[in-house]
Amino acid sequence: MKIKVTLNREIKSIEINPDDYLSEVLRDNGCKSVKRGCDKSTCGACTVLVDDKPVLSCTYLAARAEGKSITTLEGEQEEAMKLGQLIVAEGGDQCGYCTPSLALTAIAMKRELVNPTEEEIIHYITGNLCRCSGYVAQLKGIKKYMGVE
Amino acid sequence: MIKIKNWVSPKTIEEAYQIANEKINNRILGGGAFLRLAHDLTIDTAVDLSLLELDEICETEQHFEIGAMTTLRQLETNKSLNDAFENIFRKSLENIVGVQLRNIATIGGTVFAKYGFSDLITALMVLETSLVFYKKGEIALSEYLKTPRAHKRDAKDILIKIKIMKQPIKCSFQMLRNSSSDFAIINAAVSKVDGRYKIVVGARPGVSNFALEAMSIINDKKEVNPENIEGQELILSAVSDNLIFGTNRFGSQSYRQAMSKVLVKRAIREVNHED
Repeated sequence: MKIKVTLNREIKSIEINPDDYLSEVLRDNGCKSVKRGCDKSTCGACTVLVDDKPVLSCTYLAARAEGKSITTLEGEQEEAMKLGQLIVAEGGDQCGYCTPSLALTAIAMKRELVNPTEEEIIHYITGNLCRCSGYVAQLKGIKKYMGVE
Repeated sequence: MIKIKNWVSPKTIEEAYQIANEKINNRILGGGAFLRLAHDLTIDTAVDLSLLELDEICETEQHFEIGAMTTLRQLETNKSLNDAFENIFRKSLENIVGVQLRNIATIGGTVFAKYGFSDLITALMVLETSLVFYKKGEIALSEYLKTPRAHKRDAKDILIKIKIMKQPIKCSFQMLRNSSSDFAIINAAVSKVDGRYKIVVGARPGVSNFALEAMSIINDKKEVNPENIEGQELILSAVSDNLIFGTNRFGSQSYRQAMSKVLVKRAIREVNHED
């Protein structure tokens, strides 16, 4: 079957199987920022934005993306650069495997929440697991990105 | 591992119903989140409900009506709903994995499947909640949970919406998790309307159920005061002694039994806090 989607602001027609998950389809279409982590809806490494909302692409059936707008980190380079620099400045980059998904979640959060508290920020990024940073440095960078002191 | 041979996104509920019932292995999809964890599931035709506009939260004078395809995140962030029910939706949903999963999983998928681990079902049970099916019509949530799981050969009905009665209510949701975003080891909710309590315990690990003995004591025995130690002990013992608890990898039967008392105690205290 074919789905028609807007992938990183570009309209595309993509051939998929009905049981393909979005993560596989996106990686096969050049979006290597989409990471394969747990593949069990747990780690958040596969986060992408569907109609501007963060979703786990390992759990989102690609067929359901028909007609929707999909954004991966490849489509958010400017915002990713801003956030990435802030996280690096705090020493929160580490191995980098989870960083694209964390960045996309933070970008979605910035668009969704107005003046969030630290607690709300932590709560929003709870679904992004990181096995090396310990979260503190990442959180400092994200708070600066959100304009929260 | 799931295998889906065909995919359809019907434009009407009748069309969805017809296709779902054409073959035994045709299946109606809710949010589809739990499919990720399914083992060896083969679906002939997946019937996707996402074009049926079942993803809205509407208010009438007497009810909230929540479309079956409404995501958990929509419930968590809907101000009217949370204002009406003392944030029980936000509290029962905010620890389910992460925002990313809650943007996929739906209320209909959760309720229809009667998931034993569900926090949401426990919260819904202490409210006046009913389910509206395409063919069966309206049925109370508590009655639906008692019905045996449908056999593959049974006609597949479609859950259209979930109705919750508006009423002046005090309610509390409590849960215990090993870590944030994990499944609950056990959860509980209590509501109080016109001085009458509902007590529900879920993730036992069976599906949420009323603590009927405890409700009978707290509602009908006027000499029992839930505010003093003796009264509490009577009520809480009735919770832990009369519900069935079990063991799985998240917790043992005896741990759940003991913790049910703690959670219900906290919930009763919370609903009585401002009285």
